[in-house]
Amino acid sequence: MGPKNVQQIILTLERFWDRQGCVLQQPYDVEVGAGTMAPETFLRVLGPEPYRVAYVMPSRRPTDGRYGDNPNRVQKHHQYQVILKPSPKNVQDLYLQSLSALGIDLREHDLRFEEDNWESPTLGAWGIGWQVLLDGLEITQFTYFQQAGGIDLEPISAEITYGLERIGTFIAQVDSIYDLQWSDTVTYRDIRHREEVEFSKYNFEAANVDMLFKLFSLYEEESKRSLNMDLVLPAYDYCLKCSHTFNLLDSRGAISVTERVGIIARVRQLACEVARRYLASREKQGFPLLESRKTSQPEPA
Amino acid sequence: MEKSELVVELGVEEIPASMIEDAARQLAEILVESLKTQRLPVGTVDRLYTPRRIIAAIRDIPVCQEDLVESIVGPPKSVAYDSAGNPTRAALAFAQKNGVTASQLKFVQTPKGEYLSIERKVRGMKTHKLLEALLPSAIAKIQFPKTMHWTADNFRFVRPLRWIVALFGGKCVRFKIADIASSKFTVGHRFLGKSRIAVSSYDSLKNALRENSVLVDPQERLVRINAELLREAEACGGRLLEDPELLKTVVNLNEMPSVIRGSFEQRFLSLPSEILITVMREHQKYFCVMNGKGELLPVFLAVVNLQSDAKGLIRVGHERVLRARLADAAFFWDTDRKTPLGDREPSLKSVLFQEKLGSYFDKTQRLLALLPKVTPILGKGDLLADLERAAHLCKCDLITEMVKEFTDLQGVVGGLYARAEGFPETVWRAVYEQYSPKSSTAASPTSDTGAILALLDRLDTVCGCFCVGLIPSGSGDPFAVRRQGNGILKIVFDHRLSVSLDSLIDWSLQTYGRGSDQTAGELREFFEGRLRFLFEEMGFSYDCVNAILAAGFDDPLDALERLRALQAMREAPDFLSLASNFKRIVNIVSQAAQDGGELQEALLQEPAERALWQGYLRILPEVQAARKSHDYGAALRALASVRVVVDEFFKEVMVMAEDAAIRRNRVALLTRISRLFISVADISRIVIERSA
Repeated sequence: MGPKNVQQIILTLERFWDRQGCVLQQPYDVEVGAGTMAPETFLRVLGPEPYRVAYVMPSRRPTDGRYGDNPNRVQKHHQYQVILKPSPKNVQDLYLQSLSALGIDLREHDLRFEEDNWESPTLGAWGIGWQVLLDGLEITQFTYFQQAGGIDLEPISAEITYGLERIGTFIAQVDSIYDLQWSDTVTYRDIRHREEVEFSKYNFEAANVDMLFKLFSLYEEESKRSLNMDLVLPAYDYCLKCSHTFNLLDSRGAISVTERVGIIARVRQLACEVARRYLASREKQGFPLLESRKTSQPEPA
Repeated sequence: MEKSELVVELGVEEIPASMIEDAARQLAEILVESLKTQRLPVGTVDRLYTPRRIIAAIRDIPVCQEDLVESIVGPPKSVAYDSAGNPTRAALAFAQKNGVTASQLKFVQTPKGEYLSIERKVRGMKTHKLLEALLPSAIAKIQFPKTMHWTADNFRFVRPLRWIVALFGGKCVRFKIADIASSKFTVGHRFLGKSRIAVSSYDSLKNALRENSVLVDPQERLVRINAELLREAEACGGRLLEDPELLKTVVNLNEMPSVIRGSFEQRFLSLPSEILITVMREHQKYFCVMNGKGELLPVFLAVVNLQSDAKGLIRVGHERVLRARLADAAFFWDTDRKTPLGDREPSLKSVLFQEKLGSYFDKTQRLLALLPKVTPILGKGDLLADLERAAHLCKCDLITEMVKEFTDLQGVVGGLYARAEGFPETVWRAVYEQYSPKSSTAASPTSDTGAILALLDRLDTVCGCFCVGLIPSGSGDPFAVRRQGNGILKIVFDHRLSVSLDSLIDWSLQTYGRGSDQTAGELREFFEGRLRFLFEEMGFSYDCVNAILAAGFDDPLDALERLRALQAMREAPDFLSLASNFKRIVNIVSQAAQDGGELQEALLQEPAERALWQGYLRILPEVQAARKSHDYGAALRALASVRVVVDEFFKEVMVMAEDAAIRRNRVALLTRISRLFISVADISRIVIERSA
């Protein structure tokens, strides 16, 4: 029997990807819009070092808030993010095996890979891949990264991003994510609904626009200052803070047409510079993971 | 010569539906081409494909190249032998270089004299051996709109290549590409088939795939899907809403397609059918079913990649997804209507139309400035007030939740909201139809107001793009300006709108505060190109199109009418000789230093030139009257009626007479004739094919 509630789904995926030699990381502690933005993806995919990692990433998208009223849309959802670098030949099969581990019988459900190429103008990143549909429901984004921070990638990483709420509603056969059981005794509604109500109100109505504009500039300055001191990882944190601040300003409707493109370009500039410096820094350290056998690929099951 | 069959299967992770068919075509064509360059003739060629594989099979390829007799030419005989008839050093060196003795040298007769030569037999290579190099290079030549890489080598393909079957005469042709070694093992359906199946021929490959739940022939999938769609539609007492484009997509999304039928709640039928269809079609790739009255039934048909949905689990899943989508749509429909559409107009200031061309509010203002100028000259002045109301409303749906979610429905949604708010049909339909036609084969707006608004919206986009240098060139046309230009002309034709392109261009450039002659010139050239494209797409011959465009195209509808008449006339007897004589007239007139000035009747001496003058005077009023009534058939017939006198003129009259005054007078006569013709069509551009 497969998992029934959200935390069992997470545990099942953790066990599965543990067996595939992944580092099981913890969620990154800065607000991001997607698991891709966490350093464990955005930075690790750069350069020649092999790496396998998996982690849950709470992802904030302020404009998707619906005051807790919409059964499927929330300003914060949970992604389960897997990076396999380099992408193994059997990567699609691994992914399908993980669905089987979740108790989904693919001979009784309609699973398909439909063209969907991922792109993030803020990160100067793009990849080629699919959205994975299960009985018509998008449950995963599957991407072969081609570029990050404006840098061509070699080797190519495969990124698998599971939408945990989507998979949860599919398995539990419920119409609303609030009806999901998080654990056996506590529902998604119990622990998340109030958060959705308050943050929707804050994101759309209450956030202090002047302060956010100031913060954006301060974060941007701090990111640049850190870069100048070759403190690449702190610089990236502040780049992420810029991105989230921009998203908040956007949900407040505070960004005009003409400003929008410019602000995205400013964040991208930071991200690209961080990527360049990170790569240089890894090179200076002699690409420490290059010799490592820790992430060597196990034989496919 | 013994012959064998080549079969190649490329196993690829799911190829985007729109790219599969072309990839399969390319693989077969490239293989045939490569074989031919290796002197290997081919028999019948088959190609098959699914989302995970493209297959080419080529029969009757010789197992070996033909032997070739090659002749190598050396020095001339005169240099190769001395006077005593002994081979010189040049001859010996040539023999040695090619590994023969002097006695094996032969002579060959060339246009330049006799030369030394050696004939050498080149043995044909085994085809199997040739294929080892030919197949990987052929595969690498397949082109895709977008490619990726995934392995350490720099091989690029549409998606990762995962297996290759390559058999010639049943034996595996061994090679490696992108870290994949060719083999004789294919792969079945992802969930219903085996993942490693040995095959020995094209037929065995097809059988193996069938046994492993892959319908590899797209035609078979199409027939199966279509039959099941019709069956399911009938089973629920309705009729299928035909959708050939979607059908083609689902054929390319499934290896083992089956149709399942699901339903949605009756209450969602209160949503406009446009919205229901978009949700089902665009977002979920479902087919819709109508009842006898053309109303939607609360059911959908989904194509799934399995034999069947025995437990009904898939249906339940799809129903849940659709329910959520429709609930969203219903929510948007209710929320959006709480704000009157027109109240949103000021908010358009923050919606970007184009970086350098400002917001949609700016666009609205420009449309409002164009309307009072254009509407009256189209003879629709009485619609001006309605059009102005529509212009204020037309972009407002861009900030509704419905359009944010269903962007393809922009315009339609605005129209639906305007209708729900009680605007008259002339107004809401203009909003609804402002983006029609979406392609050169799609329908134009049905309403007059829709046609005018759609025309001006595109005119504004095209002229704006030219103002800021977004001019289409080659394959680069990021703003789809060409399609917009086609749209303008299609509306003009379909609604029979007589209008001056120059005026439209000038007025639009004014709204951008620019009036550069250069931009106007570029736009005129652009529209000429669009007209040429559309006319040829309509099936007119290119020389008739040239003849018409050379005679002017400021009023595109008028140009189309002239073209129709000319194309009809082109097939008439004697027309080509008229065209050929007209070409002479045009040549003489263009070579003459001046146009001859005033014609003096008294100087017309020869009977033939007087006859031509009389003929001209006779047809002049006929042509003018016919032009006025747009009866270009009559105009051309009148023009053609002077053919005999023109013939006679050229037979009897020497234009380049010695007397300068007479010469000038004759040029003046021909100038008048030529101008009269060119007011309809420059038939000197008609191509006269001469039999060899």
